Amino acid sequence: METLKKIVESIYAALKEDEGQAGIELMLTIPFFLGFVLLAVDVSVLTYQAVAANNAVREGARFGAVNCQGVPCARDLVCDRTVERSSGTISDGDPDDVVTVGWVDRTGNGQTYNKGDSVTVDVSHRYQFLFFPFIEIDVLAGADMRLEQTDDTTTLTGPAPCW
Amino acid sequence: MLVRGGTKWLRALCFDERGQIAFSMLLMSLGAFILMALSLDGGLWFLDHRKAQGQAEAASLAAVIELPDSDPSGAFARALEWLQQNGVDAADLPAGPILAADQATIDAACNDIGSEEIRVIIGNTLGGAGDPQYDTVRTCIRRESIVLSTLLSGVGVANISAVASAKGGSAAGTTVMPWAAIPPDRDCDAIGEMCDVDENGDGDTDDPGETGACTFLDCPFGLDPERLIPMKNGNNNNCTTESCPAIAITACGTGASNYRDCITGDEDNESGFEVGDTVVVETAPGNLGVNTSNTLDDLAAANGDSSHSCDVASTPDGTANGLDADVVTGPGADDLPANRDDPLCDYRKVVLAIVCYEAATNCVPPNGSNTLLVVGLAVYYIADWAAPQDVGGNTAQSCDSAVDEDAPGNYNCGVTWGFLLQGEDPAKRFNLDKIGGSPNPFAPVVVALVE
Repeated sequence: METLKKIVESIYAALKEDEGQAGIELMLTIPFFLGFVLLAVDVSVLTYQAVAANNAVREGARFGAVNCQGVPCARDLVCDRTVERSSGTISDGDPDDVVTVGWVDRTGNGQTYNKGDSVTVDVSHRYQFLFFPFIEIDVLAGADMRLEQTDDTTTLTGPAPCW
Repeated sequence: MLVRGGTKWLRALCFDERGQIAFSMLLMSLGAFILMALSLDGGLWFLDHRKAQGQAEAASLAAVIELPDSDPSGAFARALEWLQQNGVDAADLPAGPILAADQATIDAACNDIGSEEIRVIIGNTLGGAGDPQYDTVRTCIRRESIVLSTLLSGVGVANISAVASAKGGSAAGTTVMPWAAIPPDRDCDAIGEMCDVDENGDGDTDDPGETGACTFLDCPFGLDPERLIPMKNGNNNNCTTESCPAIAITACGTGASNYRDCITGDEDNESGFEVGDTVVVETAPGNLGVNTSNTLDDLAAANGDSSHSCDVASTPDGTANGLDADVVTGPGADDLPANRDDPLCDYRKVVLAIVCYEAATNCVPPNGSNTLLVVGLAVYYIADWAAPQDVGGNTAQSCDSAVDEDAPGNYNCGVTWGFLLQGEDPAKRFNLDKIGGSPNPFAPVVVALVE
């Protein structure tokens, strides 16, 4: 009982003293400061990945618009080009990254591979915050480019996921 | 009492040391928050600019495919379509295009763009004076972007801009030229020189209405797109020096079944062949060589056309300077437009050089190797070919020796024949990367993003 009383008295005395108060205050406030800094880092990575995804869909759609640079075009080729140009943002086969590629009939002739039709590339990439892993945001990007020439491959179909 | 209490609290706040770290950390956190907001804004502005750039590029590239054309409405409609398909609201689209007659007007057209505006400029920059066709599309986008830090600082709104220009025009260079054509006008021995026109195809250019003062637009090297161009040169053929419009070039090969089309001796082979280059043409004496015939057979087989479904029914007539009655008026007249629109027949479209002797005053087809000046490019549709008898064992396409080869309506053995196509897209196997100012309607049309 005596010991407990001494402990309580020493705590009370410590609370009345000024010594160490700065350390306590720093300890209490630094998490907020660090939180802002880490949030800024996460937001920067998020915007970087959004820009990379937008660039990737543009590159993928352009590749499809020029008939995959002369080789018989296929969905897999456009998918690969999109992933390749995403600067590591989109992972091939990752279930959290959905890449959709398709050819759309814009000329109204029932075919999707003619000059004047569209190739579309859409990406949905899930970004999980590095320092706040309970936060997840879907980064969305899409591009629609017009086919410059009729494609050799006549079996190009509508939008479908790459994997 | 209340005032005294407040004063006491204020004095305690000023002179008490407790809470100073918390206060300074509060200020630092505020600074960190502002920095975070600025970095977020910077990222969002860049992201919005990237999106706008993608919209501008998609619109310009979609529109320019409609060009060259003297009517800009098709290009403008396509620009609006692709702007919308890439996320632009219909309410933000421009009501009409801005038409520009030169590059300077196009460049200046976006200088005074509003803070929430999209402009589509359609201009004419290629082809020179007298060219009525638009060939350039420039899309400018300017809009207000999302802001966070500006809300805090009261700066106001931030605008992002994006500009993309695309041109569509005649190709002035190519990587491959498997064959070459000689302009019938024998004086056409320099780039851009005006040609005489043999309008009725009777072999001379002196008939009424056929003047030597036609413009280049009306006289693309004196070649008629409805006239059959047989590819053959050398001895024992019905293509004399005065009437033969084409020469044949043996396809290069590195083995029994490995062929490629080639012209050797280019001065600047690194960047392909351009108008103005001189090339050494290796002609096949007499008939087309086995390499050329086998190359075409292999090309057809590789494109699923072993049965020659892309052939165009045609009857060569060497005595009428290559005029093909079937295509112009006869039963085979529909074959060419039908096949040229079939993507499976695209492999038949090859880039062809218009060549002349560089050193000679007359443009005479060489009988053997010679140095020639490339004065233009054209797209050629291979209608068919006939291998010399016994070549490659392919008797199905061999000529019948019993046929009088020199009679009108018959081909010689070992001839490739076809038609020049106007305003055609380049064949896919040719890497055309140059747009020139030539209004030659036979040159392949290429599209490029230039800004």
